[in-house]
Amino acid sequence: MTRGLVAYTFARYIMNDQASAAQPSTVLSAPSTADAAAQVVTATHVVKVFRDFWHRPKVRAVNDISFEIRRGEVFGLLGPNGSGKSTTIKMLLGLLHPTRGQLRVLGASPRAVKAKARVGYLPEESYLYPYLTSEETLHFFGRLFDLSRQERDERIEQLLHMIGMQHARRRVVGEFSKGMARRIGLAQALINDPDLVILDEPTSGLDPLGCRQVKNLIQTLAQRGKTVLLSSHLLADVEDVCDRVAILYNGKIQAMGSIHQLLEQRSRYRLTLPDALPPEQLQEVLQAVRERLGAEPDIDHPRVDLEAFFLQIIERARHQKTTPSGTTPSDNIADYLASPATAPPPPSQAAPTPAAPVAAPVPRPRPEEVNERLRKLTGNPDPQE
Amino acid sequence: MQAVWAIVLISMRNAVRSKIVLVLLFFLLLTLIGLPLTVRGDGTLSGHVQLLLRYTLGLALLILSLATVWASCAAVSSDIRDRQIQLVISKPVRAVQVWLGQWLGVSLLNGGLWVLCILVTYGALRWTTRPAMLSAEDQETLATEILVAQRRVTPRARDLQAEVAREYQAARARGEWPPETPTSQIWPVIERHVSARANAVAPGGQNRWVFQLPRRVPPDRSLILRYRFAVSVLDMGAIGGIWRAGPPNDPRRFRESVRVAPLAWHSIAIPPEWVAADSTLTVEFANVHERPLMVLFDPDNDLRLMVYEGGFLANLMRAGLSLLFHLAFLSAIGITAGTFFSIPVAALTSFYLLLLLNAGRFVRRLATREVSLADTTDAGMLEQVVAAVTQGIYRILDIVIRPVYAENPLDFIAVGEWIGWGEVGYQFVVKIGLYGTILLGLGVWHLARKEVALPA
Repeated sequence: MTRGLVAYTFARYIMNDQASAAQPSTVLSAPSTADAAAQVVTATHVVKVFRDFWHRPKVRAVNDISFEIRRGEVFGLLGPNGSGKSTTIKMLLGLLHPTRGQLRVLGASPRAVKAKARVGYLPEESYLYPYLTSEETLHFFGRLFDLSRQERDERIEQLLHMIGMQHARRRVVGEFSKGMARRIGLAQALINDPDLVILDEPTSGLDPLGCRQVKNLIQTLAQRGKTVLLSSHLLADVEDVCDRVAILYNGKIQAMGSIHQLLEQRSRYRLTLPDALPPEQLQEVLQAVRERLGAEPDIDHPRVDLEAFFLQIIERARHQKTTPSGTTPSDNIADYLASPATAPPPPSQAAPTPAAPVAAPVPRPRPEEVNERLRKLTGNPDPQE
Repeated sequence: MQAVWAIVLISMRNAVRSKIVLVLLFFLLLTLIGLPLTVRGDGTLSGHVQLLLRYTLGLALLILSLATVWASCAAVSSDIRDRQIQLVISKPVRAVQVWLGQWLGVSLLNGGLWVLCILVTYGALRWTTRPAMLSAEDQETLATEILVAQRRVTPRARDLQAEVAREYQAARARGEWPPETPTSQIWPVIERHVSARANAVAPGGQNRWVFQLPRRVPPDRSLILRYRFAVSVLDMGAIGGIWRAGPPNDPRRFRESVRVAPLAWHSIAIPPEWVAADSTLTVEFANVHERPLMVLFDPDNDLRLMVYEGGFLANLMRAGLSLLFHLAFLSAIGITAGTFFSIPVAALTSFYLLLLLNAGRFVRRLATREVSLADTTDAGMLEQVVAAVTQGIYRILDIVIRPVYAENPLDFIAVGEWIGWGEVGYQFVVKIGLYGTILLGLGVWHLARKEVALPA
């Protein structure tokens, strides 16, 4: 207990709040008063059945799902392989057609050209032309969006810088590692400055730096009012960036709601104590808890997550290395994607600075903030009692 | 339009960088240079030109046609298989832009290769027939008969219907045919017989044909009568005869004695002054062979009067352009097939369609009942129904195929025959304008409805 925080969790069995705990099968519907104009994506009772050559039903990949995504939201489709995430995304892009139900994307059919002009799509695999260079690939997709030469040149420059691949601009995509091809895929998805960004397994094949960068990018896009739909089976990715998620299994939405709603365990509390608490005071606290609650609390040291630790190591090494062999780490966001009002990512999610210690202290909250938070959590007007 | 050009560029870049174009270019040049070096012609100047234009360039065209069909089938189909189309279709791109982009990409690339083939062949032709390589006589033949563009004129058809009717009545009266045999079967046989007799030249006799020329011929260019004939006796050597041209009652008219082998093409030059004021030329052949035999001409195929129309290079370009449209038509077939099927199935379908197109003449004969799959005279009800259905299918096929079936222009330029702009325009209108649009519509209709992200 020489450094960092002491934190422990304990059961709040005194507070009888079991009913409010989120159950896996609970579907938390969106507010019914949601403004239709703010709905970027709506899916209503969508079913997708794959058929065989003789048109006999083979697989029901999506089974009566309904959801909507609002402007500026980061929405996650979460589920194991084969749960219907990619099929849903492909229907939203007009690449597959629903067997039943209705889909609207930006107020139009998913197959409407005017809607597609405002959508960026990163597929789960990098379906790029292997004989084109990075630059040619981005020019190609820029042309499909009818961007002028000057616009394409500017955006490509910024995107290549953003994904750290300026040095590979003239290398053909077929030579790239999966991660590098993925970055080009990401760049093509953003070349039209889309209003709706659909990312299918966006961090698949990326190194932790790339993952962090993609997550930062998603947050930046959301801050700019862009809507992001991402699918993943990497729970940490979804938790890090999504405002709301839908958990799919067997083609059905098993749970849907905000991350906070779904993950909050309202029957349990976590208490964070100040740094360098003397052992005797800690013992007093524990004793008080034992006496008041009649139960033994859990206690351990907090840990930084592996991602944060990894990023710090790489950041340190970055200052010692000169020639990049793969992608160049970059915290930049393309200018046209980042508005002047863009706020920096939250401290807990930002890449650590080179000088940062391995486990950086989290800013300690002021006592009144602690009391206020406890009051909200427990509903007790006087938490000291 | 920018999206179309983006797809055009990408399909061309893919073809070039995947080395398909390089390999194709290698085989084309190998054919164009290697074949004339390794295959000997018949030793004549005409044979040499035919070897270069008809066989060498024809083989290059065949290779390019096969490559075009394959490449166009693969253009959309491989994009679907490799899923690149998912990134394209998810952009604001219409199916028609995808189809047009791929079609233009394949067509421009193969068009470029085709133009290169023509230039290489023309260069080889000029190099191997340069003045230093030819005698003065050969140079004259080359300039007047081979490396020219001449309009083909066939003899004016004779009205033989009265004679055919007489023969028919006589044959019926003699009971040469069973009474139940329909007239439709007997009449063509008698017609052919009468026509053959009318165009035969008996021993010591002569026959006459009239050519209606399309317009006044150039005064400084001879008319070339190209002819061949059969004889009634097999294993004969050269046959003696006399050609005359000009007004029949003019004692000074053109005359040339010949002694030539049957069943081979020969030619004589007729001065243009023997053309009558009404733009007709009367030609006679006298059978003066020492042994009695019949000389037989098929007027539709064995007698051609060649009238100078223009230079060879322009004619070659027109032929090249016609074939370019043909290659673009093949691309359209392949691209549309590729939107429906996987590469091998699309290629198989396209090659089958090509086979049907090339069998246009055969299909026409089947459709017009010159050849019948079932003898309906003795057939039962079922056979008659099958024959009628089959006949119907052949007629529909004939209607579909006839507009696009055409003789190979290389066969024409190899013998110095003129290909008019009208023919080039017809090829464009039919193969690109009409059939190309139909194929475009089919392909776009299917591509717009196709689910391009179905699981494999």
